[in-house]
Amino acid sequence: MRAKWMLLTKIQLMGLLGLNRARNTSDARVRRRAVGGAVAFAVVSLLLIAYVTLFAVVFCGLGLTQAVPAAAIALTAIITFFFSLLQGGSILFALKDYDAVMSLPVSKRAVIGSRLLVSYLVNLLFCLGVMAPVTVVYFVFAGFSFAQLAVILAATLCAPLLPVVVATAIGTLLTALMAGLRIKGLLQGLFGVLFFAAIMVLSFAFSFSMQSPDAAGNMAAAVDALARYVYPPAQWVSMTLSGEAVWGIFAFVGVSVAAAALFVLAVSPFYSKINAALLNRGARVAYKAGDVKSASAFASLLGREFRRLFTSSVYLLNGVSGALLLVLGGVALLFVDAQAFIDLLRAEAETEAPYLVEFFEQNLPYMAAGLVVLFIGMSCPAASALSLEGSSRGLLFSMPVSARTILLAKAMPTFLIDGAASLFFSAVVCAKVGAGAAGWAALLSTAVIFSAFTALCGIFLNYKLPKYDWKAEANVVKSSAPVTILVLGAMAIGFLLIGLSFLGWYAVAAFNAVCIVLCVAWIAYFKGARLYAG
Amino acid sequence: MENKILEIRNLSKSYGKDKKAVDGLSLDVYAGDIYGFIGQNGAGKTTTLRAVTGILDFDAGEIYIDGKSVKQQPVACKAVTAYIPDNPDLYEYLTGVQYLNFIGDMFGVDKALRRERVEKYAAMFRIEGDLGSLIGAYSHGMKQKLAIIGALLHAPKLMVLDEPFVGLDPEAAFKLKQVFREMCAAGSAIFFSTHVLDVAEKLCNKIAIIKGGKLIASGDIDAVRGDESLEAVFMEVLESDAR
Repeated sequence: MRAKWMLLTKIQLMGLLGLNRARNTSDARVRRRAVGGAVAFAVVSLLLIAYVTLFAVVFCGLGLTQAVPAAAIALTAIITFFFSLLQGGSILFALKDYDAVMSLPVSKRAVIGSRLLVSYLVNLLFCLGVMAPVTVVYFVFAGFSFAQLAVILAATLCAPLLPVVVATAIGTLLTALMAGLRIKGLLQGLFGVLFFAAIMVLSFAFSFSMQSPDAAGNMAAAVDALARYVYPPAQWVSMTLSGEAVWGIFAFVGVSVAAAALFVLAVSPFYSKINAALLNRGARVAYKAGDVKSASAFASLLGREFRRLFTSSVYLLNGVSGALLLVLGGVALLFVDAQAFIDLLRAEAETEAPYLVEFFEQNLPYMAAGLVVLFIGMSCPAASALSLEGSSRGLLFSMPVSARTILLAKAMPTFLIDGAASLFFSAVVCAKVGAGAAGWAALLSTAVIFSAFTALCGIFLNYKLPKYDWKAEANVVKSSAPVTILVLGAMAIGFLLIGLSFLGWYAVAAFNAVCIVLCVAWIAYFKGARLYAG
Repeated sequence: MENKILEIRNLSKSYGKDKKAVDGLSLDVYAGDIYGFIGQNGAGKTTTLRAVTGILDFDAGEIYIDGKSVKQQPVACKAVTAYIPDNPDLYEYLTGVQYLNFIGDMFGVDKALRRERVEKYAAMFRIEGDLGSLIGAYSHGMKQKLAIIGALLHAPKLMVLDEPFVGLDPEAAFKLKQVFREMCAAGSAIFFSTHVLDVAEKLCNKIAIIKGGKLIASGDIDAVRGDESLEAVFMEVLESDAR
């Protein structure tokens, strides 16, 4: 008989990728979606492996072979931490199946352990995608050794554990502190956003502090610092690999496993209390006649979307991270002497590649337009706004309003938030680099048009690929198909626009024209949209 | 001596500082009891049921199931209890039979017994042909039936149900009442909340009325209602706390 925590883990995993649904349905659309998802997953995995292999070969070629495995572990740990932090306490608390699971004969520790394990396994997939090619490249350059393979394998299996635990612990602490408050969602979201902003600021500061006169020096410093300062446990792995200290890998595994065990033990006494406060069904607020307000159906739906966004910390954090980065970038630029930086680039370019000087001077705003696209596409609340209706979607879909009104109301917050943030960033960039009229027009128009594009594309994808049977909001706002497609697609488009920026404003204008056409097409398409509770 | 299956002693639970959802509630449910729990919306019924099943921590008091403390031995208590919430949120990405296997695994029901009970109850509630379908494709009533079969799978000593008849078709409701009686005859106990006073009156041998978190009346149904109908008694209780 299998342990109960294993059964709980299995049940959760069955719902993650939609494979069980595809296997057991006669609906061809569901099967097609699953196949499409599997293909997309394979493509992304291959791209990741190719990207990592390329970097590993470059670093090993620069003579940094011994530092590469530890740096890769540190990097995966940071990325895992970052994305786990976006989930916050939502992997443990206020899940829709809380009552069902807690009424089963299973301990709280088993429930917490299984939830944590699912998060770990998902992140382990990413970690394997990074570490597998790194390990191969490492052995090609350093020569194969069974002992080293065992060390890397153990380190890889444990690498996501500590970051997942630390990020979940932070999320749990925030959740616990605010669980009893009426505006807990908003406060958690704000704290999460502030924490996210602090990490971004620190990472920017770290990147700048690693600057060295030459490119190879930069890379060596960054690789070394990753393991040494940013994620010190990775340095222990490096020490074992180099034969300096055998205890390193044992310390790495021990700390990772101990942290997870300690977390489960520490949280279990408070698990029910925190959930009870979050799922509070008893506290009510006295009604006042003055609360009655009237508005148009669209305005009312829009207000409801904003309230939904601001009362869910995981939705807020995942939904505004791109916009937040744009604001942070804009604020940072206000305090940076951009002219000095441009002069420095110009001085370097004049000696090494004089033809680049004119190119940069002319095309910087257009390159920045690509950057704006990249950041706007990083997050899109619209891509999960429909799925979040979940099992209560019937109520909304039965309202006497058109599907188009509902879909546009769900797209609007994305447009407004991304639009405001990207306009601010664009204005600061234009002012700082002294852009001409064409530069201002290109950047500001891209900010507005791509914000609309992202919003409409997000809700279109969510309309075509809804996921209503979620148990945790993080399932849809972080890793559902529409969100993944939109974020990866927007990143590809952003890089493409940066690459095409050498064509000048023509490229940006053509890009914006295509976006406008698509936006109009989607709005027209939504006229015939139908929403069914299913 | 009667076998006490559920014992609630001075149960209190507050939400926030001001709102006391359950206030010093005590009652006993014995083997063979079909115990109805009635009260207005927000009276504290669901809070009590959730505390009994170990889903909700409570501030004060004690709850014992089959002589074991819910606080001290929660897993042992849950092993002999089945809970069906008012709106069962089942895993929509599982098929009916996958869900039942999961429940069977969690309660350690052996394979032969599991097959026998699934066949028996699925046929009884007429969903045997749907067990291979995804739960997401089920109607509300079918989900309710599946949750009931899952609850019956391990032959619990105590069944705790929150509004179990909502969403069930008349035949399924009739069968469920039949199952309740069979279980009680076999030594189990049923503790359920309902707003359908007619059902409570005909089905239950004991009744408890809760108002504002406090138990207003409890005991044998004949003693509680006296010569009046349960509806009349309930309406009186709403008017006055003392009975």
